[in-house]
Amino acid sequence: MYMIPRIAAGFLAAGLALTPALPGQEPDVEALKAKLEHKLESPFIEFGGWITDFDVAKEKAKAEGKLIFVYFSRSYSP
Amino acid sequence: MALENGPFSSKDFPGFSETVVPYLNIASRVPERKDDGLLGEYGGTGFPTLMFLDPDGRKIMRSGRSQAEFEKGRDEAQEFLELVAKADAGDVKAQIPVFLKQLEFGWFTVEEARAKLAGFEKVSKKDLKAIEVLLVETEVRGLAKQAGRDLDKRREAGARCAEMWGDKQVPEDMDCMIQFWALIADHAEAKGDKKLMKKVVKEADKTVKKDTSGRALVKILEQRLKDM
Repeated sequence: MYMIPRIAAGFLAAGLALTPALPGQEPDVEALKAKLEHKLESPFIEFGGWITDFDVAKEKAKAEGKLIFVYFSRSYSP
Repeated sequence: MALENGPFSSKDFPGFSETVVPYLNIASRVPERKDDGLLGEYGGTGFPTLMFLDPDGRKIMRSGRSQAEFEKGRDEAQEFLELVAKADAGDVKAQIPVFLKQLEFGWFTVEEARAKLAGFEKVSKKDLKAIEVLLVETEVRGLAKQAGRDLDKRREAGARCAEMWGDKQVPEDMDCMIQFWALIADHAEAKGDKKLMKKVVKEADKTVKKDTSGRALVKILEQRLKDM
């Protein structure tokens, strides 16, 4: 019963802004994957030339001598 | 969504994005997905977060949320990298300012930072004081990162933070301070130490002031104190 505040504070403190599923409430992985796919279809991604793989972004940045501009977003909730 | 429908979709954005490598990291909670928890590794505390990294992926600075702030941030980040290159090439005047920034951005472990500090010929008292605060923050971030989501490790990290607090070693950076209080709270709760928890709540309340994440933490800690 007290896991939510404790875990939320833990993640808040760890800078993770994520909370895990509580025991007995396993995440619906297929639903999470569907939300991720939907997010990846957002028009702004192609428009802005966003790369979605960190290793690829680092390789490109090194090859072209550029900074990496990171946008941290999420798909599991609005 | 405001960014995606706003500045990221404006006609000016492609001109900016061509001058950098725009990387979109999406936290999805899909198990075992690569880089899903990357925000936490960079000390982020919520979505959206924007940052400039160097080509090796080291954090330089956060960005604001408008086109003008993207461009200003890019130029400042680029200037910083040029200063780093000067310092690395032996420009003595550049070395301490660069070192302070690198510490602030979490480029070093505490051990690496102390080794680098030992190599400087002359450090002013003012700079030394600033460096000591940054070393405290480096240690706290390192503890939080190592502990991650593991509650037992967080409690151990909290014990160390409580020691640091006793030695008057307290972070000044807001995100770091929030991590610090939350870790000590985990430790206090594990010990069943209500007195310590009260002190944490009181001090957190005083130090986070009006910061949104800080106020959210204080609310959670107040509830946890009531539940003890």
